[in-house]
Amino acid sequence: MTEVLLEARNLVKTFKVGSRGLFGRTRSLRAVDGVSLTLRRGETLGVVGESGCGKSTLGRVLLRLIEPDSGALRLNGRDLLALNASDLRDMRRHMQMVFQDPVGSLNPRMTVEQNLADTLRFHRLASERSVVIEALREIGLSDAYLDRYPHEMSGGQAQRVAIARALIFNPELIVLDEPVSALDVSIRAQILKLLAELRARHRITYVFISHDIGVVRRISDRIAVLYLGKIAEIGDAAPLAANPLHPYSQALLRSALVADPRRNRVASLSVIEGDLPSPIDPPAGCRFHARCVHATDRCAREEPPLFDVAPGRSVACFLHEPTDAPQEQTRKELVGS
Amino acid sequence: MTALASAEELPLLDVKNLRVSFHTAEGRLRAVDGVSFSVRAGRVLCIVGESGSGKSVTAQAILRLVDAAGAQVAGQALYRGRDLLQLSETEMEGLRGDRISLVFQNPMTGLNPAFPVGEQVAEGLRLHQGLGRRAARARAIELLAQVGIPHPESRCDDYPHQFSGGMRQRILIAGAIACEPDVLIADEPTTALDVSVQAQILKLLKSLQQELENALVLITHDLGVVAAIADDVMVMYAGRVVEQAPTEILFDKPLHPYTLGLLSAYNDGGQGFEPIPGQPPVPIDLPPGCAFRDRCSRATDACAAEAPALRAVATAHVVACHLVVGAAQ
Amino acid sequence: MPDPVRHPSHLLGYASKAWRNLGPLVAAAFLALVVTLAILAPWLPIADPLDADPSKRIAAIGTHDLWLGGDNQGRDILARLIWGARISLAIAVAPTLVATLVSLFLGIAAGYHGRWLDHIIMRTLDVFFAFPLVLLAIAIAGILQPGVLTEIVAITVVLVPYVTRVARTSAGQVASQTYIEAARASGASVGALLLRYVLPNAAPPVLVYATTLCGLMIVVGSGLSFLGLGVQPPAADWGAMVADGGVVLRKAAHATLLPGLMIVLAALAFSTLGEALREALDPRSNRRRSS
Repeated sequence: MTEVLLEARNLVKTFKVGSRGLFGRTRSLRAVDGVSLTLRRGETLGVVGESGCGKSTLGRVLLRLIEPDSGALRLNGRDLLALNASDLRDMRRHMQMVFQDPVGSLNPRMTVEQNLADTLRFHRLASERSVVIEALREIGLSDAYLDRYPHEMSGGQAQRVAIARALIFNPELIVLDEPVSALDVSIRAQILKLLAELRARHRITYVFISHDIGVVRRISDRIAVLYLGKIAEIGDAAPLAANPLHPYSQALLRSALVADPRRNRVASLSVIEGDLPSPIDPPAGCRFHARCVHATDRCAREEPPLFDVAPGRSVACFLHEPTDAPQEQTRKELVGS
Repeated sequence: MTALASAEELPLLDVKNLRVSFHTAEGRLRAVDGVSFSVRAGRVLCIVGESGSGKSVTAQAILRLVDAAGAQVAGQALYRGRDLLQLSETEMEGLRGDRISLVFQNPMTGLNPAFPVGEQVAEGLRLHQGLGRRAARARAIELLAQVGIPHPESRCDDYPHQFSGGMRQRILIAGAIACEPDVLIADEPTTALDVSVQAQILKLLKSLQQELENALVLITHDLGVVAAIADDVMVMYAGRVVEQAPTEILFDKPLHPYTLGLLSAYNDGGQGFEPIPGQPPVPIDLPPGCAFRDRCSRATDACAAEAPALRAVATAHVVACHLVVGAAQ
Repeated sequence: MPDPVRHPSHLLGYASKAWRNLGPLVAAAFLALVVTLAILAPWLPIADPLDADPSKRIAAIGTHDLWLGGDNQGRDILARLIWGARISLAIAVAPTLVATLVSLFLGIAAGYHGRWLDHIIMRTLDVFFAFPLVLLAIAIAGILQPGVLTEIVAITVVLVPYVTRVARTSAGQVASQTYIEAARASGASVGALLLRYVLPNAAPPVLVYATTLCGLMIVVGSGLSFLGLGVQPPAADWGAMVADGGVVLRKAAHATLLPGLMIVLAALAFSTLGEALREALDPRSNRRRSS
């Protein structure tokens, strides 16, 4: 039975959005609206959703790079939200992040060596050249890269350096926010393969955030589908991808393009009607009901909790409400196992 | 659909041996190095490539939008028999937006934030068809409706920032088809968009083509887009064409090692999957020989000596690879 | 992908490239020369700048052993230019230096922290912005006793709002960059972040701006001296020399033109160096390519 690495309960993060004019009211954007997760050591959780679903914010909240407004967060049993600034910084050795813009995530005035060595210095660790060389070797770059500046590297090379930086403390958890979206297709494959190798070698837990369901499907053990700040569906990757239950997951997976003209011609592409509503004024009831072909009156009034529909699968949709309703509904806070 | 039957046989756009190079601090950049293709009415050609492949520059060169000093454009780009590369700027201005349109890559920046969208959509109509303000506005509203903008009468006067990315892309498309051009070139029209919106835009482009019977050239790096919409595919690498075939054939029997690599990188890699090593080159001072050989697992000495020419392997299937043609013999 | 070069014509291209490489050298050489002479003034074999010889009044260039002629009081213009350089340059450089240090501190605090700290700092400085640069300098110089130190203080105070604004914008831009968030995610302390990540990336535009300001401050300082608010006669200073020479402009234009020329050349030299500094500090400059 693998142990739990990270436990998140009911995380909420709202941002204040500017007012219009002098007397406009400030509105709040509920980027993360009550998300609960459990991460087991060594697994890869794919978080997939479109723009505005809150996945980037969620990734940062899990690392406490952004302060959640409410909720609970425990890493290795320690309450992350109770840590003071100094302890939190120490804790960062165990949890790292890889960003979407590889070149932009490195200090432009420092060479690769300096970027990596300085990271080690944050925690007063040995930062000699040999350590840095070893880190580079692990992600497949030669010593020649020590003196390169970020802008002198391609996206793929820079992302390798960023991954080396994330690995350099041997963290237990790495959150990757769209790590390959900005890269060419052939480079993407290289990086994904590298990530898989590193995971096997070091037994790291990944949270892999992406809008690209194809990529997420390949690398994840479990997938969480996010819609407007809430989990719509979560479960083991292969069954979920083969048989999504939430109408949004279904639509998302069906509209994902596949490189096979027989399965995927434009005439047969299914389309979700309407536009993504703004996360500033979410509709009442189920967030998705306005665009859902199965919506009922109840969906417009009530928000469905996450129902456990099978071992390892939960769906936030009344269509899948278990028939022995009363007991199941109280389990709405618990997710994933 | 009737009298045009014979005209459909002739390609609307016929590009021959297009070459575009730029002067840069590091040397001469051969962005496009001998590209040829043709498109007929009612067909969709997808140009596929990664960074440095030259796909966007190809489109810009055809429309004579390459403006850097020191840039050299050579070859032919025949539109209905007229070589676009030889026309005067005035003649080109008459064609751009009217008979040949380009939908730009980034819907966020492709629209002018200072003007209402209706005006921008109507711009081509006023310029090329001489419509008066009222008539142009009415037509713009029709076009917005055609591309699926809800409440076009009122939204016509809204500004670009009041629309989402997907909506803005539709508006760009509306502007591009306003004068019902024969050739529509779309440069990465779905790249900046959400997955669910991508499908909407592709469907829109296809249905517009069926209505207007234009030729659609779609530039992309996404093989899923290609599979969804292309009739013919042209794969570019480092400014050169490496493979060209109808869609089903390309996905069924890809021959060029790069195409093979791209396809397996895109699809589920699975165990034992080896991604293409290295990265796409910047086409400056490329040594002689095949541009892909540094990354090709099957490269031979012949690949370093001489750049392979595009050779037909089957009807309508051409490949530029020494290994492939040898086997077919 | 490297950017295609955009030159309007080959000839202009070569010319601009030549100036870009030579200009800073010329400017640097010029300033180096002036600074050296200024520092070595007490030991140079030149006349006493305060020595007024009525017989040499408004002497033309080359007469009476005066290489650059005599001013309206018969003093050696060359000597006064060299001695005057000490003051004129000090007035340009010292305030700019101090103001830049203060402004970097304030600007980074405001730009990186943002929110209330930003408001407090910038709104306070806004008060100073309300006054025209030169008027404020005059007011301050008018309150304190006229003198070189007064000039320096006045110009420093006047400069801080301007440089802070540039520093704050720069720091604000840097603060929103991914690498700052990445450093935080790696466990950087606030001190390390500010010192090694924010400052090195936010400073360059400020430094370039400050260097160009030096050039402007030569003119401003000279203006204050011209108005009598700076150095007091008979001390030599380029601005004061321009004022003195103005009296005899018709008969001996060189008495005004020569110090005026020095002011212009020094200002230009600083500007040119500022431009070169901007390119040198840009990590993306092509010249930095290694391997």
